[in-house]
Amino acid sequence: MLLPLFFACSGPNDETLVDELRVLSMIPAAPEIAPLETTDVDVLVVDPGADGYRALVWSCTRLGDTCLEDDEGRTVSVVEPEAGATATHFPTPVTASAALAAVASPAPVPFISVWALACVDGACPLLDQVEAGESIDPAVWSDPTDWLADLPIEGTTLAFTTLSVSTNLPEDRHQNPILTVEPNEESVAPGETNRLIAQLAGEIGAEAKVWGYAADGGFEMTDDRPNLNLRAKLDWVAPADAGETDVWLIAEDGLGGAALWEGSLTAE
Amino acid sequence: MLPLLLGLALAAPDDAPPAAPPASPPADAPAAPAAPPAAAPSTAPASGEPATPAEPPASKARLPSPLSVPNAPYPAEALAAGQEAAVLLEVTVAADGTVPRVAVRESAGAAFDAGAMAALRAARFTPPLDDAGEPAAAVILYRYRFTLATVATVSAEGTVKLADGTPVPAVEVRALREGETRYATTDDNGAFRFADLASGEWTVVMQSLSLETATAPFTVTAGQVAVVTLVTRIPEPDPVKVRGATILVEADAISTEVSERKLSAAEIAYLPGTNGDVVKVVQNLPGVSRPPLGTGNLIIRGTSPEDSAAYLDGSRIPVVFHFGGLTTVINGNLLEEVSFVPGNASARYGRFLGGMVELRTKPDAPTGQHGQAQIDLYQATLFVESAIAKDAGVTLSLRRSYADAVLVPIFSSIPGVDIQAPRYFDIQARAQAKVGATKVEGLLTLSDDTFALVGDSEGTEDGAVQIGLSTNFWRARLSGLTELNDGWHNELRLGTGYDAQEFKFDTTGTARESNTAFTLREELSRPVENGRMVGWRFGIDAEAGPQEFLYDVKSFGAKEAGSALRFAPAAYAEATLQLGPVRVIPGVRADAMILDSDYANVTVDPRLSGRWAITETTALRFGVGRYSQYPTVRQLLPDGDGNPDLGPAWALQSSLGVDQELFSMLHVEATVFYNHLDDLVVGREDRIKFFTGPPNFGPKDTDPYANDGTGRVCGGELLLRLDAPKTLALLSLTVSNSARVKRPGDAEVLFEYDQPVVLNVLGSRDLGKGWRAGARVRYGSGDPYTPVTNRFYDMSSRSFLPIYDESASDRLPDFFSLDVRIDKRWTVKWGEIAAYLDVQNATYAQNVEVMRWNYDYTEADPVTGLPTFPTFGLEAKW
Repeated sequence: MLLPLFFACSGPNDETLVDELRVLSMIPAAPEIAPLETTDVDVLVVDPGADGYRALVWSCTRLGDTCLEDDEGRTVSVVEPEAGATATHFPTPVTASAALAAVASPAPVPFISVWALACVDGACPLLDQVEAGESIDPAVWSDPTDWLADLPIEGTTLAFTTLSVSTNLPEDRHQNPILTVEPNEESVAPGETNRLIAQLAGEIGAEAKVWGYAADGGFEMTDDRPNLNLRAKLDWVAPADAGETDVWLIAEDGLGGAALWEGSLTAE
Repeated sequence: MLPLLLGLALAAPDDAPPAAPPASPPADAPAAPAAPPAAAPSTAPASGEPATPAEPPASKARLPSPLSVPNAPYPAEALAAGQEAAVLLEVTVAADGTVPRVAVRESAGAAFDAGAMAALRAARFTPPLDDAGEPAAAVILYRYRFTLATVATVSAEGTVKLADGTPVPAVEVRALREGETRYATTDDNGAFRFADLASGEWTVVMQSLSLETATAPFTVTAGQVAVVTLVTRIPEPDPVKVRGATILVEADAISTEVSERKLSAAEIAYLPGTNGDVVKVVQNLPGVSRPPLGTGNLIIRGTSPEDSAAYLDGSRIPVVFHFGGLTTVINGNLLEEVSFVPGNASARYGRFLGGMVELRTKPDAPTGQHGQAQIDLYQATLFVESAIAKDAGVTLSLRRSYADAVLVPIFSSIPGVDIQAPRYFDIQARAQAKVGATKVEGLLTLSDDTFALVGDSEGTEDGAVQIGLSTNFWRARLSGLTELNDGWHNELRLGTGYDAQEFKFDTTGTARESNTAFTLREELSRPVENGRMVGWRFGIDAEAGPQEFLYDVKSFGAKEAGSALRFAPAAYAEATLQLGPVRVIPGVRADAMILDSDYANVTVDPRLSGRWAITETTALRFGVGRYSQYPTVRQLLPDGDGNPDLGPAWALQSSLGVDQELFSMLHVEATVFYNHLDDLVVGREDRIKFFTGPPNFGPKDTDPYANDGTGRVCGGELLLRLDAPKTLALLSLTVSNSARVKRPGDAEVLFEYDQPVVLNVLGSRDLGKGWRAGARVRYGSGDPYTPVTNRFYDMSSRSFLPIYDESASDRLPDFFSLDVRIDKRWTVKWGEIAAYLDVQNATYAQNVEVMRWNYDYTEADPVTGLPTFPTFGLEAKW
């Protein structure tokens, strides 16, 4: 009956533990761009076991069943982390299509989808095809959910984010918030909780949230809403074994902007 | 021989001095066992007020005095337990000395009351005289005593058994000779005894509603014990009367549903898994699929719960069960019977595509004062009823669960979560009277279920509801059932009520639907009986009132809100043609739906059903008909996302069945059915709706509402009922397939509740000495579900989104559950006490009810159903 549903609510949240290959964040340097402008999207891929993978990032501004980028010559490339790296940033330039100038404002505001696919070796034939320079069906780029079902669920991770296309003047465009984080304790005993205070700066919306992720242990809650002082609190539960753990806090400002904080916490 | 128990079925004289001397003194009971107990005569106001001792009339008036009062059978359990009792009766003595009416004024328990009343009904008194000396009716008080003090001598003993030797317990046996009747009741071994019979020729007679009458002569000789054996058999079914299909009792002549199944409360209350709730047995009948998560929703012949209907005496009620399907929303003590119609319902009923359940209350006012108190691990119930005048009485029932008291401490240990409830309560209050030929009734019933999770996390107002679900309704009605001339009956029911469902999400919104309704049912009917070959039924069934809805929950689309005045009148006509062994029932029903001035639609549904009694033990039955169901107000109103061009969905139901009696005790019923569903309303599956089953995982049809859906349901149903002495057993098997096509051109997919095989086997056996034990085994196919093949991550919501396989392409594991129940009953002076232990899922089978996944869809995380759930309860009846 209802009991099993609610007994699952206690303890560190599994979702906050990054223990397998995962595209953890995709944060554009500018959340709004105008047609023909380019911004870097910082793609963070976490590979806790440092087992190695390859990744592919591309953008698609959908128009019906195709992408505007199809006619403008899409360039995609396969990237790899350094050997032994557990967390790697791939800054990927994304350019808003020139055609958007005719489509855009005032409404609806068009957006650009940016996709990132990371796969362990041999899991994704698409990466081999791209590396081999083979011709790719344009439909592949417009809706990857069509072919994702054909990939193994183990060893593949696909994520997407969106960029707003804006006709606002640069000074009127929304900017990413600034996120700083202070843990209450320098270290805690294994199994103990260390509270992290996340301070946001900048304009934020009602739906703003700060999310917590850790390579070991976990957070009791996946996220917290900033209070009136733009401050959020997240409790990291240290793992049972002593050691240093990578931790990531990601802020979504509720207006399309985002920020990432990376650090490490110690259990001893 | 058991000399201490011999001849104890004697009525001893009252030890209280009579207020007025009887016309003839009571005989000494031990010396003359056939003599009546003493009466406490009094003046007799017809009001039924307790007759107070009065001075003997100074005129020629004379109170009645007993001439003969048969001995009541001594309840076997009380006899074995050595219990004595006295029942104070209010006895109406007619001018000719006969007894047309007996009512209990002071009860001694059901068994004692019944025996005493039966004895007094057969009693004869001296004619009462009025002041003028003319014979006139009178009411007296009469205390009937059951005492063990008398030791008598066995004159005759014997056994009642079936032809195969099976003893027949708990039936009444009479020893007769001219001018004298003696009574006894068979014990658990079918044995009976008569004591202190006068020497000479006697005849022993066993009569029972469920058995063929058996008689045998015997001779009483002083100093000897005559031994008599009565052999009886279970009678063959009446080929003319419509028989219900299953757990049945005989269907009355006005019932025309050929697939109707009526439930007899007395025997079903002991079945395991029911907690004594008669209505819950419906869940075990053929045609009913197992509801998800124990919700108690009725899934009948492959249709959604919202496609079937629940009625209380012909008026719709929104739910049949409280939370979790644990208990019916109406106390079973108010019910005369429960009717379950899986398909091909009469034209009397409409506005649904599937089947129906009707709770039918007792039509007659209570006699005497009775009650029941019940308490178990999660709820308490109090039921009382009392006669307040001749043919008038009141009834009150209260029930409240206290599951919240048990669960709150458990949930309070979870950080950030507190729980208030679940809890439910229901109340029924009823007044009945017979005025002339009309039975008048007022009924108020109320049901409320609430479940809430309360958060204590920062940012949430302390004590505010984070998640709350409530379902409540009330109904008030006035009814008049009138016997007219020439076999016609008139049924008039005027009602009003309100029902609401609400789902609160503290931080994200509210979903609410409410419905205020004024209802009218006016029906004129004449059944096929007394040699008539044609019966009729004409009726009006109307509902009117405002309906409102509000869906304002983020992540589930734009806010939807609307209200409309809904008027849904219907008229129906039905004939019953009895052509020898063939009964044919053609009918037609016209339904209309009017919303404010914006929407109006009419639909006409013809129906035909029948039954052919081929032999005394074999009958064929069939049904075919159209059933329409209008869209909801939400689906129709353009205020939200509704489509005012929608019409009613409809079903063409057809069924063919055979009933067969085997070996006197085995009833077999087999049915095949095919239902075509059309113009089903589809679309807007992305919008939140009230939970009636498994979450709709898988690809969603988000297009606007349209009558584009079609479906088919086919299958077979088998019911075996073994009704042997002391034993009731049922086997119910449903094999079916239910599928839908959402839009033209779409592939056919399994219906979300499709369960190809559902098997229930349940039985209960009387072990004697008040013990009864039973078990139920349930097996069924799991519901279909849509597997996840992969997933991707949405950075804006920071959550994984699934990629689904084809809809309903996999199925949950099969379901299995073993339930057991043990009852023990004790007869006490004032009534009966019972204790029971009902254990559901005794083997702790972890049945998967809903398939869900972990946060990234890499692991299945199924929700399992009810764990082992023991319930211990106590019950008292008086």
